Amino acid sequence: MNSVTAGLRSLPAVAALWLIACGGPQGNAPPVQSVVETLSSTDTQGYQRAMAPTPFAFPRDHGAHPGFKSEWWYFTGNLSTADERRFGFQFTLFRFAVAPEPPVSASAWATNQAYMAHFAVTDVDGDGFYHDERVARGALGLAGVDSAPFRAWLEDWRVTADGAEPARGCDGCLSLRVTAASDAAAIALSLTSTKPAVRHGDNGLSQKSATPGNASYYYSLTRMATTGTLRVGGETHVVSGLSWFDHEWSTSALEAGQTGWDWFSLQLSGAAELMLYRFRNRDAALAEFASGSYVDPDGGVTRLHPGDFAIEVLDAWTSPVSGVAYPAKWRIRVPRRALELEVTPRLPRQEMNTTFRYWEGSVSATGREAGRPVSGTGYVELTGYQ
Amino acid sequence: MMLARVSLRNLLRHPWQSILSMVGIALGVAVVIAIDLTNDSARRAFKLSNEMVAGQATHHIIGGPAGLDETLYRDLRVEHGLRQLWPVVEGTVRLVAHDAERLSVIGIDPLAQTDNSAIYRATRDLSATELLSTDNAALLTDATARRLGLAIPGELKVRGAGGLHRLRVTAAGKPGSALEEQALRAVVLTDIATAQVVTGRLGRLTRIDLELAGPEAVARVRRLLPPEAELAGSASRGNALRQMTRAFEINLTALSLLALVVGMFLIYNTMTVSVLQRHAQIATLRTLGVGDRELFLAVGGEALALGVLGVLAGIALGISLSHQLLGLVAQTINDLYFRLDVQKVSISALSLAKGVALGIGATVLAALAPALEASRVPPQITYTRSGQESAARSSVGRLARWALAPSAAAAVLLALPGGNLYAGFAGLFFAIFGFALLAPALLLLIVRITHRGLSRALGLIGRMAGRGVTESLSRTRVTVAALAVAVSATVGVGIMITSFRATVEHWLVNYLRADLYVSASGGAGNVDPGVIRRVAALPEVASITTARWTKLDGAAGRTQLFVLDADAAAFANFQFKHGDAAGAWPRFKSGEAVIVSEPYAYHNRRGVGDTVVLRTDSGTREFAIAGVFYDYGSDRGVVALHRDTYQRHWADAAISSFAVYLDPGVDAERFAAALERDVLAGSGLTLRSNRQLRALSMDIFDRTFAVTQVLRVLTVVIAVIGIFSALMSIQLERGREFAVLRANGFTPRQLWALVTTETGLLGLAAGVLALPLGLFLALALIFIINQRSFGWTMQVWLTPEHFVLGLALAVGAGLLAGLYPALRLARTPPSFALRHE
Repeated sequence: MNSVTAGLRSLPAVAALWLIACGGPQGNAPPVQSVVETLSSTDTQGYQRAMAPTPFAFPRDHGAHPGFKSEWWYFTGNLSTADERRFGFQFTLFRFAVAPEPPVSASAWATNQAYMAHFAVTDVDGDGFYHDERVARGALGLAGVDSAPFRAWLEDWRVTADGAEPARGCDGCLSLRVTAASDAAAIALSLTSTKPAVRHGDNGLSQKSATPGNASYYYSLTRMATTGTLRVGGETHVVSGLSWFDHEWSTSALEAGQTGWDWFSLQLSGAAELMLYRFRNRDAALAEFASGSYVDPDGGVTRLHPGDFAIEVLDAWTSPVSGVAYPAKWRIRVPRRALELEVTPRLPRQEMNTTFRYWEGSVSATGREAGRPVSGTGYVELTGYQ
Repeated sequence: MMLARVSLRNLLRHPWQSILSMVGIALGVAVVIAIDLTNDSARRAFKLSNEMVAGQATHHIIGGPAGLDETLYRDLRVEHGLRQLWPVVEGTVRLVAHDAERLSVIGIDPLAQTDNSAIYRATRDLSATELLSTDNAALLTDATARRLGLAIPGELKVRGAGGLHRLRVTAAGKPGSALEEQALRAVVLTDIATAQVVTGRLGRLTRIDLELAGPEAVARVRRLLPPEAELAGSASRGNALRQMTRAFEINLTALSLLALVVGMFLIYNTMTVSVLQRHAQIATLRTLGVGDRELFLAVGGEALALGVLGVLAGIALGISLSHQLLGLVAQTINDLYFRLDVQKVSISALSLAKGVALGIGATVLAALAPALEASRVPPQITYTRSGQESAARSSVGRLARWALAPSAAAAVLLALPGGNLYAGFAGLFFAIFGFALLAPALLLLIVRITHRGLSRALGLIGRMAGRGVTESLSRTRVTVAALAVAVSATVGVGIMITSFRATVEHWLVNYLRADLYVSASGGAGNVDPGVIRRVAALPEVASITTARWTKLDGAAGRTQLFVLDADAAAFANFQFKHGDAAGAWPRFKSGEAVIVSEPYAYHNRRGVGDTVVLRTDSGTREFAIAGVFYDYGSDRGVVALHRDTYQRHWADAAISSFAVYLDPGVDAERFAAALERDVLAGSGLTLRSNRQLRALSMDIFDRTFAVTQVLRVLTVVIAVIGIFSALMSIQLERGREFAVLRANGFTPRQLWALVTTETGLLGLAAGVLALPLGLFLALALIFIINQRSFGWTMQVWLTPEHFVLGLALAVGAGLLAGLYPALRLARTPPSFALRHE
């Protein structure tokens, strides 16, 4: 999931242009384009880079890192009602710096920080998918992220610390309230981490290509107990389930020849979690770049290298909106853990037709781990498909 | 068919007469169309720029004089989750180069802007990131950049309330249409942060645009607003502004109609004379069995043919004239009302249709009486000219009695208390009509009075000339009435302008008592308080008063506020219509009361003892009116209040200008030069002496009346053409009479003297008649039309020049019209003329 960062660097320009040209997300035709089209600029001059592992300190590092070009706070989760009606949700806040330094101005509006938020609800059993997008400047309190107490917001879509104390000594743990509403859907959820923060890659430095600096800082809260309410179709449901929180920041660009990535986050029945990502190459000669983390029930993390796992595509689905074909079923093998899973979208149509187009959706998994049956739920992100 | 040929031959037989009356109608129609097109273009430009700003917004949130606190916007979005709203910071800057041209800076939030208005569409190919990431980034249209000779990217040095800034023009946009192009002509688009800095509005928004669906959404927003803010519909804002120029437009339209009325007299004159000339012919036609209806239609048709040709020419002329007038009208709107950029005349079919309808209508109306007259000619061959003339003379009394009805209507319309502007103009037109009916009687009276004098001075020729006028009354009465109306219009408007000018000049002398005035240039900015402190500390300075001009926008319209920190002495400079300085001062100073200008009192129907309701930072509040003062600076009126009062109720410390009173004995000119050099250099402030400011005010005054002057001249031109053609035709008709005179021994010279004396006498009569009517018009304009348009009291300033000029104009037109017929007659051998008859 790390390298999305690189791709979205030139996004504010594109976003605002689309908003101007097309009348915004409320317009009739969703203003969409491929992520890869936005991956043009390689201007990293003046920004901070993810060159070496740095120890994260919480709560400070939950906050924004404005010196890096892009950053996001990503919440996804699978929820269900008492009578087993299933839902998925995604709430993401993106931050982009449009210039390395803030402008010199006495105005409270002046900023080099732009924010974008994506909010989606998947109504698995009602066969519904609702998504919305917002953009705002990181000034005047319109949008921003504070670390202590934690607060991430874009207008009235917000994630705030709910004041409850997470378990003692739980590194980076958070107890949060997530509220967002669009015309079609709304969530008001409480999320409490049950495991400490997982630093991916080399102690949080997540490399994306062989080029030094083409990396991000990346950690996750992989298991957050979730309760609250969710509204779709004018009906409000009391729900509970599990959520996943990603926080990633970087400056680097996508490597030439890389076309996109597949990213998996799975919460398994045995209280383990699995995060995997791989970059797809246009150029077959390019070494495949992939990485992952296996989190055991106690919070112990196993770093997974390219040779440690295999992802096989079993099925495909073509979006009727964009005509883009996406993989729609996978077999994942992690031989070191004797883990084999079949991952299936809980609903095929979870394509985000936002400023840039991608597929981000709720999935379920079944398979075996160390000979015993295992199941799970999670989220998959697919970018760069055309 | 036969009649049509007769008609055509008749029109062709008197080509000059036909052409000149066509020209008359053409000019009349041209003026009407030109004014309508000009008004319409200004209206359109206004509507367009308003839409450009409003976009898809259905409402605006507006604040006090200093706008809105920017945190309101944040609260509405973040705390209350409102979505369809957009912040706007707008202000004016002046270019440091390019003759300090004014540009509107419009600051938006490109990330919030999902609005689909033209201004944002126009920037669609521009990078919004650059607006955000580049310091002082700005966007222009392609055409504006070219006009300013600016290469992209380039730099524009501007001065606004926020001081001197360099805008970095990073891109130029191509608007989607010519209309958008026009509306964006003098607009610079920037990020909202840049606009705040450049226009000196840190922490403030000019307004918040919203798109609200339904009364519930409106009510919800209203509940969320702080007391100093108000929610207004998009239309109401435009309407309130439009309302400001309404009286100005009506006045222009009325003047243009006056030109048409004069043109109407021309057609009437031409047709009447033509019917009279052809009495014999018509009588013959009747004996041949041609019916009333056919004759009526034939004469009407001739008039219509002239009218149609005239109208067609008038359309073309009107369109080209409107291009000339547009600049003048736009200038006035900019001087007096609000910033409006209007460059192009938009040719509206409606304006043209109105002109055509009025032109044809006027022609038909004017031809009605002559056509009826033609259809009533008895079928007999024993036609006598003397019969016509005696009929004309006997009708003089009847016409004069008929004049009673329109005069009474005029009196009622003009005198009716509380009457509106339209009624005022209708009254004016009735008065002119009534006067025209009275003209023949007055003409006879004048001839009788001058008879003795003329015969003493010119002997036989004088006597004959006087008789000639009365003998051809059937023709001359219309001509004289038309000339009198035209001349009176120019006399009346002239007296009105002179009176107005003198009143304003007099007022300025009393009002501008300080020695020097310093203001932020062109209203685009504020005065740095540091400058005021430095000036106040100079030993030569006795005292300083500061002023702030600002406006309060509300759903109900715009209120102009004049804030000053005057002491009792400076306050005494106000000239009160109601109340007095001594009585008003303590209440004004304490903040209990305000004073209002005369137009304000008039438009809002308020006076001393009433109250004014103003929206302050803490909500609406009533202020007592302690006095009504004369003020000619704003035709919508102002509310003046003390700075202490203002700052108690509005968080706005900005100063627009200050006045410097020097110690007695200080050389103002030398002090001004030193001040300019040592304190004001580079500050962007403009220093003017008392005298310069007065001259500047009068310049603006004169600019304002430039359109009026043009219309006045055009009306005179139409009249002179008409008189010329009418008098000429009368004289040319008398070929036989003059031939007889020649045969009886009249020299060509004597004949020449006779003709010019006669036409000169007619001109003189018209001139003499025009003077009382002109005075009446002037008084009506001053006391009724101006009052009802603007609420101003004016002193009547009668100078001989307008009367002398009016008289000279009438006599001159008369003499000129006599020249050609006299020359031609004098050259024609009598035998030829007689044979030809």
